[in-house]
Amino acid sequence: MNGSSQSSVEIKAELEEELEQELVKRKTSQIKLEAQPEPSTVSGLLAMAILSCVAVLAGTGTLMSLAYAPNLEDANASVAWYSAGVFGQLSRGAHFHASNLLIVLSASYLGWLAWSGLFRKPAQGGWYRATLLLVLVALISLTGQMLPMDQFALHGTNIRLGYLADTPVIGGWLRELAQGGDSIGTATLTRSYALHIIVLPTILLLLCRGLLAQTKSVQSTATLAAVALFTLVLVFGMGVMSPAPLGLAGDLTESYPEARPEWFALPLYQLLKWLPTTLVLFVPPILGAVVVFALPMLETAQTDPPKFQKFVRIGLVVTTLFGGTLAAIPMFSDMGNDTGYFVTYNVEDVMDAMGKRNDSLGNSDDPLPEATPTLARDLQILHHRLIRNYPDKITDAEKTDWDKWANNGLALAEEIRFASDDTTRRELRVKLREVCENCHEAHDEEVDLDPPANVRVLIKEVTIAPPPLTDWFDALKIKTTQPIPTRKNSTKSYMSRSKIRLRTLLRLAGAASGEPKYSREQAFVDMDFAVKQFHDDWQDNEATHESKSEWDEFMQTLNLRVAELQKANAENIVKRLDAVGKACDDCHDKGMWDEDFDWSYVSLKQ
Amino acid sequence: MTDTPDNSRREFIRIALIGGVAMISAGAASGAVLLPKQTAKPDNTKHPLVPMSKLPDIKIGKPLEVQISLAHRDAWKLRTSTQHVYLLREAEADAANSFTALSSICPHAGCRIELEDKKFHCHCHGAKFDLTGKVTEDPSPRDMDSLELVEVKEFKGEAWLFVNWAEFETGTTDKRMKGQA
Repeated sequence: MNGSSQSSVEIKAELEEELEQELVKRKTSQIKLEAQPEPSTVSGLLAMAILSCVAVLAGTGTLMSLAYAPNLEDANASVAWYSAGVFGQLSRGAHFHASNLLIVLSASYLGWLAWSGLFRKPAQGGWYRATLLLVLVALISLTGQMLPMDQFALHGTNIRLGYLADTPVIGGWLRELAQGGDSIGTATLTRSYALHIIVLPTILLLLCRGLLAQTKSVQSTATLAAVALFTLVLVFGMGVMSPAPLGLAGDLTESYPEARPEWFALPLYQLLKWLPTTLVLFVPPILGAVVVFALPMLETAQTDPPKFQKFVRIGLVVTTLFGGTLAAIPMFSDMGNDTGYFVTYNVEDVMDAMGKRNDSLGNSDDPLPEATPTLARDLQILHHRLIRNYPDKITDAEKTDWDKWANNGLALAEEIRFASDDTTRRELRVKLREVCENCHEAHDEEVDLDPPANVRVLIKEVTIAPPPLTDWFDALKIKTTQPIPTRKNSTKSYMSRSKIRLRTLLRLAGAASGEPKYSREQAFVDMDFAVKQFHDDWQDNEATHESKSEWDEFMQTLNLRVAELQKANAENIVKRLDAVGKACDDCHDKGMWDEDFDWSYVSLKQ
Repeated sequence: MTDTPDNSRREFIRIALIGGVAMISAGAASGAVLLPKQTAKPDNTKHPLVPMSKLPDIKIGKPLEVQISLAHRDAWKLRTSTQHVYLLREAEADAANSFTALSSICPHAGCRIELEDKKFHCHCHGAKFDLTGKVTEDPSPRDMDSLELVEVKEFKGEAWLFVNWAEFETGTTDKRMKGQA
């Protein structure tokens, strides 16, 4: 071949001559070309946007994989750690939004091909590739959803594994394969991870080749560049404006009232409420697969306009509307019931969840648990849920206080999370508890967030020196000290106040563990005041009570014991506190005064 | 096809792509089939629930929520996880057969069923059950799963009520132990 010396004009002439000879040889005068569907600009633009999303996902995904720890204990903490910085938050946000956008684009791409008849032979290859793209993107999204290991991820995974097991015949085997065993464990996470970052993206890469070819239907390179740029700006812009969500660390046994699937699964979610699982999860996909495979068989591009165009278009519109309506039903019902996507948190539940994490953080003398950053992060989220979320029966003045406490707790939890050494973390742990206890006490509720550790009691026994035999209270100070007013002026809050101050006195006397928060005199004056108040309060409401004589008798004893207490010395202080406690117990034991009474003096001493 | 440099490069890319996908898929498939199970079925039958001496405190129509912790082996790790059991009284006598234990795992899709005043409620898909565990609101395909209760005379110096913890397949009308076809 002497190709290099020939000009293109010569080559063309040569080929035309050969073609003519060939036509004569085959006894025909012209070549009938098979009709090709028109290349579509829209699908080219969509393909470009899809490729841009894939590029963002690959880049940000690789970044995140560098910091991700795929095991049950650390997964959530590593994601939280990664997204704590601006850079991490931006890339994770972009990954999140790009994946959502990719689902929308892939569905639109397939929809557009159906709408414009681009499934007809010989374009069926592109049609099948677009279907595979949508399936792959959905699978990548589902496998990626487990990775942050927050409540959303873990509950979602648990439910989906259950659905997988509902597959006829091989369901149990499939679940075991996905789980890597008999229950959700580290293997479930590593399998999801491997599928999400290696196996499925590689197959996606193969499809990208076809998509790249598709972009050639757009004539102007500038338009393509503009689409790519727009996609990038959109995805990163949304990443800045709304970071990817990351909830409480995953725990299947903890209540998760906001449990809802991904937005694109909402139609199926609604159907699941009405129809049996197997019907919902297997009939629509099989039906979809049949339609996808059958369409190219029905007609070729030679019929123009397509025979089935009307049916396909109506089908598309109906499916979209039906899906949208189905998705809207749970949205509206959640909006009305304040659950799911529109959840408002119940204060009691938040408190319970906080208590659980507080217990896990350990006692003040214990070493910090390994999960401290995760626990602190959870506490941050939970405190945030308390801000402007008030319990019933709270005054406007108390609301301001409430938000102040919540913000305080939030800030301290954040400090614990990012503290650089364990000593600071332990100090902050004590501080956070004080914030909680103060708030509870201010709302006349007694809590002991730091139950005494055995170690501390022992140290106390050894080091406390015998106190000198002088008056325990400073008489002058008692005269000059003013009682701190209670939040509410009710018998119950006065009772509660006297109980809390009695405990403070026990702590001051070394008979109960815990740090006293008030001076001896302040505690006594508060208690004395509260006792007088509930006595008065009772007399004001005398008409409603029947056992006046008994009450008077008990109050007389109590007043006497309190007066004796005021004169106590270092040796008999505990005995006299016991006497006050006994007076309380004797009266409460009668059981006729308050029905929801649930403490005894002995419990204060623990 | 002539073997120009251009063609051989294309051929290489094609082989690399298809070969890569094939190798990765083969790796994933063989790994999934050949690797040993990482989490073994826990042997958590006979789990202590409550001391019998506490039974008089449980009243008819007031279920008690009991937390139990289960041991799991996860490859090289031993984990404990908690589960919730609801204990209901059905007769006055303080014996195991006066009580029913219900699993808190929803038979519909495996979410956690919670005890709310006067009913059991699963927040995931809105299934509701009455205080005996009967379905009152869809979509649960069956009633809450009951667990077997056993009396154990000697445990920590006391008589205790034990529960045989089990997990069941979700989404089926019949109650089948998990992992059994």
